[in-house]
This record gives sequence, C-alpha cells and structure tokens, in this order.
Amino acid sequence: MNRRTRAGLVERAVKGDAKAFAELYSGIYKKLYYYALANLGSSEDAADAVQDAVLDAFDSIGGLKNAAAFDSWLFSILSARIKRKQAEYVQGRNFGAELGEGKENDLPAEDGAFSQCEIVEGFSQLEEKQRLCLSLYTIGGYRTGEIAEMTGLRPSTVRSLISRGRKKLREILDIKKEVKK
Amino acid sequence: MRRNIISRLEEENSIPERLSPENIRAMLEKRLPGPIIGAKLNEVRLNGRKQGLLRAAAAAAVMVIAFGGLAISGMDRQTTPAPNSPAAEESVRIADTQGLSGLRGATYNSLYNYLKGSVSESHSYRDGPDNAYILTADDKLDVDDETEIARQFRDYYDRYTVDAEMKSVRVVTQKGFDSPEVDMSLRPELVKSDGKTVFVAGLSDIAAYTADGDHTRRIEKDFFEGTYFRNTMGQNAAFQAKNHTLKPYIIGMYLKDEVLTVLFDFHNVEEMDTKLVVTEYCGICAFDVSNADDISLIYEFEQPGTLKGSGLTEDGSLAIVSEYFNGKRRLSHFVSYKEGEVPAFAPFLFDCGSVEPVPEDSIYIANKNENSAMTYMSSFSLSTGRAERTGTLLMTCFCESLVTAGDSFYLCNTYLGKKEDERVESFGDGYATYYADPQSHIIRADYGDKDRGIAITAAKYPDSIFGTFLTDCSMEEGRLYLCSSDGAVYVFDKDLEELTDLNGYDSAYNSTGFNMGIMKKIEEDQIYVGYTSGIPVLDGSDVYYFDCYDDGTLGLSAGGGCVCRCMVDLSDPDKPDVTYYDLDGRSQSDAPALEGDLSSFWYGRTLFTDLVKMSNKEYLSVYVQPKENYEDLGEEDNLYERYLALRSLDPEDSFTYTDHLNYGDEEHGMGKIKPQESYTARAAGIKDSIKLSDDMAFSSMTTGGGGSLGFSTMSLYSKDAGAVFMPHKEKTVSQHEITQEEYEALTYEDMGRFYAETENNEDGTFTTRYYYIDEIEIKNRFRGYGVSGGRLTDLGDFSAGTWVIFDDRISDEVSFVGTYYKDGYLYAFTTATMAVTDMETGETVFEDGEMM
Repeated sequence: MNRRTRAGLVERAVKGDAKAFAELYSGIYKKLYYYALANLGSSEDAADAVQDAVLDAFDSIGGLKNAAAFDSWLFSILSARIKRKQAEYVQGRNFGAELGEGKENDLPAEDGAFSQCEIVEGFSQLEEKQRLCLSLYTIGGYRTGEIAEMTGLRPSTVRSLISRGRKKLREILDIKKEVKK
Repeated sequence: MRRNIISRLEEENSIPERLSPENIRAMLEKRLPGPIIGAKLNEVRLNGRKQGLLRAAAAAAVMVIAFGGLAISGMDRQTTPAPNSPAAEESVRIADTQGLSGLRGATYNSLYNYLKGSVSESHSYRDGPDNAYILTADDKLDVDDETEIARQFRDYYDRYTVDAEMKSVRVVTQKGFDSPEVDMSLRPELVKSDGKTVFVAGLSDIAAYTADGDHTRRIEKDFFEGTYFRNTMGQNAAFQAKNHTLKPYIIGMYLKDEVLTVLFDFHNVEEMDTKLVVTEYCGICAFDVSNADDISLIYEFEQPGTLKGSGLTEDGSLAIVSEYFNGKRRLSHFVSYKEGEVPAFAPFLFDCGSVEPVPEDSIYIANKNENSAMTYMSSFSLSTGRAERTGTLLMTCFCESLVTAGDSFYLCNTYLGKKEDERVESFGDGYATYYADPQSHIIRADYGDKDRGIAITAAKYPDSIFGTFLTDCSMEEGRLYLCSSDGAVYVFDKDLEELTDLNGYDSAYNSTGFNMGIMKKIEEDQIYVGYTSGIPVLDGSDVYYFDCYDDGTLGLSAGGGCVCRCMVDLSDPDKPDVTYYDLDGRSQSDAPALEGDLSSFWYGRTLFTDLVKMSNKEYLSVYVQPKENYEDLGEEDNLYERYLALRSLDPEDSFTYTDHLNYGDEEHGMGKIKPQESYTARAAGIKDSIKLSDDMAFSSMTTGGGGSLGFSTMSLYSKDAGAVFMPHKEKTVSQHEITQEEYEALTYEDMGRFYAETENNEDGTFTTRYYYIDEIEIKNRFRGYGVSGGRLTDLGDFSAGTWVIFDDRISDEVSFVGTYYKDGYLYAFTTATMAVTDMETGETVFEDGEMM
C-alpha cells in the first residue's frame, strides 16, 4: 500500500467508509492481535480488546490528522483497551482469564522454536513496562524511538526495558527448554 | 525476529476468525454511529513538561527504593575498611543552626533516632534515573547493562539540570540574555581542552587526544587505573562473584588550572547475607594534566547518592550535590547501633580511599522532613597540581530543586501538608501519591570560601504555599526571584527573607489591583487541548505571565505557541507594577517576543531550544515546522522541516504571527480535537535562517540520545570557528536476501541481524521477503553552519568517525558528545568514534573508533 493510497483510505475512513477502514486494518491486524495476546495472555480477551479498539478507532478516526500515524494511533488505542482489561483482572472482575490459562496454551513446542503458550507465558512474567515495550518491539515491529513516542517513556528507558525484557524472556524460555529436556 | 515471532505465534495460535478484515468490515458497517470511548476530557491538560514535572514531583516526594524481603546484615566488611575517624566521645560538636529556620544540628545518635523513625515506604518503586539504575537483589549486571545505565545516568543528570534550566518560555530581551548571575544549568561539560590536549567524556571512560591537527594522536591513558574506586571498591566480593567490572557513569568534566576533574555516578554493590545490594554513589577524580604524556591522578572522592548538581567558581572552589534516597537501607545497623558509635547505618565518604563518616558537626536534620532521604554536599579546592576536600554536609531531605547563583546553591525542598487519599497509579510496578498543600523549605549553601568549605548560610520557610519545583530563577540587586511549578513567584533578600510573592493570578490581583484571574477563561463545552495558562517566567525582576497552547494538528504530542498575557515589574517588591497586559488576545503588538516550550521538541509546530547568544544583537535558535504538504506524506516521510535561525534581540525586529489552538472534542474522546481558532503571538525577528538537511533526524541531533538539544547547541557552538555544528548520522546496511527456511533456522543469537518485510499485494495476498544483515556502517557527522555578519552559511559535513556494527538494534546507541575547534581543525566526538577534519579542505585527517 503506497502512501497516497493510505492517505486516501484514511480520508475515506474518516467519512465513515468501513471498507476503507478494514483495508487499513488488514495491514496490521495480526500485529494488533498478537500484541494484545502477549499482554493479556488470553485469546478471547485479546480478540475482545482488538475488536473494542477497532470500534473505538472507527468512531474517533475524525481526530486522526496524520494518515501516516494510523498504525501507531491504533496501537495506542489498543494499549488503552489492554490496560482497561488488565485493570479488570486486578479488580477481580475477570477472574479466571488470567495469564496463561486455557487449553490452547498447552500445545507442545517444536524443537528450536517456542510455542505460543511459552512465549505468551514468558511475556506474562515480565514487568508491565517491559512487556509493553518488548511486545511493541518484537510484535508491533516498532523501533525504540517510536515506542518512546507511543508510551511517553524516554527512548533510553525503552531501550533499557527492551534489553532487560529480552534478557529475562530468554532466561524464562531457556528454563522451560531445560525443564522439557 | 519481529516477523519471526509473529510467524511462530501464528503457527501456534491462529487469529480468531472474528478479527479477519472481512468480519471487521462487516462489524463496522453494522455499527451505528456514536461515541465509544468513555474517557472524557474533563480538565485542562497540562503540557508534557508540566505533567512531567508534576509526575516527577510526586514521584520524588514519595520515592524510596524497595528491597522487599531483603535481610540486610551489614556492609561487606571484607572489602570495606572500618572508619578511621570515629566520633569524639566526650564533647560532641553539632552543627550551629542559629538563624537557620527548619534545620537542627544532629549527633550521630539523633541521626540514628531520626532515620529509625523516618518513613520508609517499601513500594516496589524502582524509578531512579529513568527507572534503570536501582536493581533488586536478583538483578544481574553485565557490560551492556552498565553502558545503558551510564547513558541513563547522563540522561538523568541532563534532565535534572539542563532541562531544569530550560525555562518553558524565555523572554527575548537584552536583560534576559545578559543576566549571568544565576545559572540553573549546574552542568559540567563533556569535551574540555587546554589548547594542547582534548579530553572527551565517554559514557564510562575518558579519552584524551593531542590537539595537533593532522598529527593528532590518542594519548594512551587509562584514567581510572590506580583509583580506589576501581582497585578497592571494584574488587568488592559481590562484583567478583558476579564477574562484574565496576564502571563509572560519567556526568561531565571541569578543567581548571591544569586540573581535570571528572564527575561520575556509580553503583556501590555490596553483598549482604548472600544478597546483592546496590547503592547509588557518586564521585570525583582529579587529574594533573599539565603534562599530557604523564597525566596523574591527584585526588579522588566518593560520597553516597546520585549527582544532582555541581559548580565551579573562578578561583577553583568546586562543589557537588547528591541525593541518597534511602538512608534506612542498612537496616541491620539500626538494630545493632549503640549510642556514641560511628554510624554504620549511614553510608560513608571515601576520601582518597580513607573511609569516613560525615562529621557530626556537619549533619543537619530538616525539621519537617519525615523520609529517610539524604542530601550530601561536598566542596573542594582546586589549584595547579592540587585538589583537596574542604567540607561535606549531610541534610536529611530530598534535593528536589537546585539552582546556583555565584558560589551559592539554593536548594528547594518541599514538605507535604495534609495528605489526601487520592492515589494516582503510575505506569508499571510502582505508584506515586499526590498530596496537598506543599510547603517549601529553601536552603542556601555557600561553597566559595576555601577555608570554611561548604556551609549552610540561610534557611527559610516562605510564608506562602510554595510549588513543588523551582521552574525559574533570577537575581537582581541582591534579591533572589524564584518561580515555582504551580505558578507562584517569590522575592527574597540575601538572607532568604521573603519580600513579596505573587501566588498566581489571585495574589497578583491582591498585590497590584489588577485582575489577572480573568485570563483563565475556559468555557465548559470548549476545553482547550494542552492549554496551560498563567505560567510565569522571570527576566531579572520582571515577571511575564504567558499562556501556552499545545498544538494537536498533527495528531501527535505537544507543541505550540506561547502568548504573553501580562508583565509585572517586581523591581520594587513592595510595589508590584503591571506594565503590560493583553488578556483577550486582541493585540500583541507591544508584547515581548518569546522563545519557548522546550517540551515541544519532538513534534511541536515550532521547536524552541536552548539559545546561543552570538552578540548583544543576535542569538541562534532552532525551530521546526511541519511541511506544507505534511498531510499527504506517508509514514516513512519526514513530516517536518527544521531551520537554524539567527534571531534578533532587538524588540524592533519582533513580529506578530498567527497560529491556531484546538479544542477538546469530548464527543470523540480523549485527545481528539475540533477545528482550531487562531491566536496571535510575538516572535523574535529572524535575520537569517537556513533549512537543516532532512536526514538530520531529531534523535541524532541530541547528545543524550533523546535529551534536549539545548545542551548540544551550547556545547557545539564554537566561537573560534564562528560556526555551530549539528550532529547527524548516515546509516548504510549491507544485507542479502535469504530463504524462508534459512530465516526460520535462525536463532535467538542472531537477533538484530535479520528481518522480514511483508507487502500486501493488490489481490489481497502477501509477499514476504527475508533478509540477513552482513554489516551496518554508521557515519557520524556534524553539519557546520557558519555564523558571520548577520548571515548563516552551510559549511557542509564533518566526520565524527564511522562505526561498524552487526546488530541493527544497537544502531541508535551512539550518542554525540561534542566538538572542539582549533587552528582550522574540527575535533568531533561521539561515544563510540571520533575524527579530526581539516575544515578548509573537508579532509578527515585522523579517525579513531571504539573509544569508550
């Protein structure tokens, strides 16, 4: 999708064109879902969060002035949804949907690769900021500077969080590998 | 790795069907229009900087470091010698606090009682300098961590000092630019030279080069070799157990009378009951550099806490201030303490390896303080070939704001009045709590007297409620003018007696009969986005109140213009005089020009940065504005144009301009805006401007990897060269395409060396290509702009060295450090590279890599 096309799609989406919005969405929906999954740990909740974020975004796209910022803007809205969902966890309103639960998380891992459940579970063991930054980095595909803009953290903090998160995630995954052996 | 993770996740967990673009489209088409986001903009948003200050203030007010569950048994006695100057047993001398409000002298015993009873909130709050430098017992340090932490310490220091110096708005007047009495920067520099040798501060090391143009050579010198810091503290059993090397996090350097003084923070890591406990420390090392080939260490000192400020007078009086967050960390020593003993519960000073407690007659307890934070101040005398400590103070208080005027520090510490139950959750694993009714305690410490050393000479509680942070400071005819973060302005005499105050609009009304309150016009249904009203800024004894509008036109963060609303002349504190006002914005023609709002640095309509004064007639600044066609540009395009401007200090040259402000759009939720309306403001006249190259990315234009540009412009302007040098990078990636099978076979070890690109095809399918990075070459450069005869000229690029790496993730890790000019050669430095360029020919004559 070239830049002109994207700007045109945003323009149409602003006017309420669901098809145009869906087209914009199609470019990043995988990243959105797996980003939500890494932060929430539950497929159902992740899908809910993405769906809610999309509805939020569609209803408020009139405020998006910069077509180029569509992806990061949608990620920001999703982040807010994720935080709300996490707050529900803390308040116990959604007890039972905590990280790592569910049958799909019991899939065996292939050699040399980490299964979804392990990666997601690994993410769940990170601190919140680490999880957020690392998932934006590895799943969202954003660079540290962009993550800094999206989260309001300083770029150096983002780098540090990613570095530490990555290291910790690796340790977690290594331990799991060892256990399997 | 990024695509790789997605591919693997996709294999293991397919995306729910309801999220497919087709189903989403169907869902949206069925959706009835209406607001979804529940969050409403129900209050005026502060601009980013102001929010940051408040957050930081709240955080600082309650920040304690938690080592939850740690059983701390004591210092590592294997490596730390016992104190060698125990307290006098018979006649204990305590600090004389006569005439000092709110301070009392303390014995070791009373310090023990104070700390024991102090509040120690053991949240898992780990926000030190940018959330990085406080480690828990389980954390491990490796070399990469240390480098990153060093960077963050420097960022932290920059933020605390340099950013603090960045007033939100600066009034463009001769008076404002000619006021050298007050310096809020407290900032040592990163590049120093005596004309023969250039010293450059990397993140954790010092390098030295002869300033010999095309005969430049690196001086082989390991500056920290032989220091107590490395040889003893670094040999701590905890470090050895972790196979870790202690590193200094260098903040900056002073060069005076052939003595190079290096300031640094570091971790003092101690093992207590098999636990790793990390303590924040700072220090100085002074070197005799009179003979570049025989540089020798002449003095070394370490004290607890993270550096918060420093100053050096013309006659060689140096002082440092640090803040140590948690004096209760050595809990076990509280249990075993006996009256009269040297206090093992308080961290020690290390003076050339001699371990000492702070003398009892230099300990002050701040009466209203309740926490266990401590501020340490030490002074030193520097002279040719010699350096020695002249004194150290300990105060049981935070060091929330610090400014220096002449040889005095003014410390502003805020105490919290009644505590409200409101708890504001911050990001992550900690939280801050906001309190109400803060009261400030202002303390002056003088360090210019080499015989006496640093001494507290005044301490007062201002009569009125004070804001949490100092935001501006000036001095005129012996009177001290301070602005606080909540918009109050105070005037003090030399003894800190409060002469008058303007506590926001209402107070100004009471004082002057001039109702400034009506400036704050906010209609219920039209709430300004990012509107901040009534911010005071000082210009000598003049107070300017301005309104600031964040600019949301790009859908991004703050930025925007500032409008001067009112000026109050406080030269006679008894008779504040309103000399200018424009409350309804009808006219700005008589208003002073403003340069302002550094918080708009990233995405503001206009970039205001620190200013470089060229003469009494002109100064340099940088501004940014979106390209005219930015709405048509794509995500990979540069949306902004940057200009270096030579601006006039002459009010006659100022001009009125029009910009727009935005309203919050509650209907569409937080952060959304309605069409704007215009406002007028004044800006300094532009004598000349030059568009900066598009490839000069913001991030590469800063020295601190994201910090303020102000420091870099200050350090990168060379009067001798008649030019300013703006850093930027050029990255070249050598790579080759690989197959999906090869891609999938890559392991975690290869992270940063591969990536995949997925393109959407017109038929709805995807094509993914995979790449492996062979090498990344980063050319670090400075673009020179000559400043002469009221004109700017583009001098072209000058190399700061080339960095070759193999991991894309660290490609933005290099920070620019600074430049030095001599005899037609430019010496340019980053944290990883350096180069010397003949400015006449543009030829790079010397280059060095992997510096530090």
